Amino acid sequence: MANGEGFSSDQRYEIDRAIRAAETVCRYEFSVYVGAADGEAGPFAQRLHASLIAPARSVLIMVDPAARLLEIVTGSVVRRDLPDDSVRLAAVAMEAAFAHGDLVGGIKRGLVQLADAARKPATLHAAN
Amino acid sequence: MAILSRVKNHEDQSRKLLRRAVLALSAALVAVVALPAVASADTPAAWADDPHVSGLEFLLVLVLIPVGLALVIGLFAAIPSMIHDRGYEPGQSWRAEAEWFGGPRKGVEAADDLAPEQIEAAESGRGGTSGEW
Repeated sequence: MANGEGFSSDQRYEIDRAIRAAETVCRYEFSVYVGAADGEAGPFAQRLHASLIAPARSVLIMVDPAARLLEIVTGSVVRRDLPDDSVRLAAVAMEAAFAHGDLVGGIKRGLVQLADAARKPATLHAAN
Repeated sequence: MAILSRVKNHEDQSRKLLRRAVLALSAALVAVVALPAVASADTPAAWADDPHVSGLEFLLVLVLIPVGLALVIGLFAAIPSMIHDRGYEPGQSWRAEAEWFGGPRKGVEAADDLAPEQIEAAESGRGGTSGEW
């Protein structure tokens, strides 16, 4: 109930909904971790990513609001559709929102942008 | 030039007229407001006597009741935002436990007891980026 103690249920619901929307858009799994990293942020995010059910098809976003750190890890299959440059772009957008103090908005924006970038373009001229 | 000066003259005249009008009006106002004060009189004898009002009653009616009402109304106005959990707000430091959306059921412990082959499988072809703000 006290302020500053993490997300409210509304905010949790918003993030959950954004994750589900992103997964519907691009058919990859998204996972968002908000909190302090145990040790160094990069390796920790990679360990989180490895512990997901299908790491190759998953995107992990790790946000450490206290340390102001952001890590995005993409699996090997996701990476074919979501190049690191696009991930970097989404990360920049998220950092901009975080810098304004908009934690939930930044996460949502990042999810939307990553999902849009990872979406396979609809095939207009199918071979068969 | 001649036309200009004539226009100016015209303006001067109208301003003078306005000033006179304001002066006359304010004099009339002063007369209306100030003169009857001279004729103020006592309360007519036929009227009932004023009830005696003690200082406490005076305070109660003019200060305590209004202030109390203001407090009660203010409290009612503040209650919704006090009940509503606003969650994390911009600019606050993050003091809460870590939250993992869409993570494994075991939570962060799942990352601690990873099998080596799991790490290896996830490592190949992995991409991503890191940043700070």
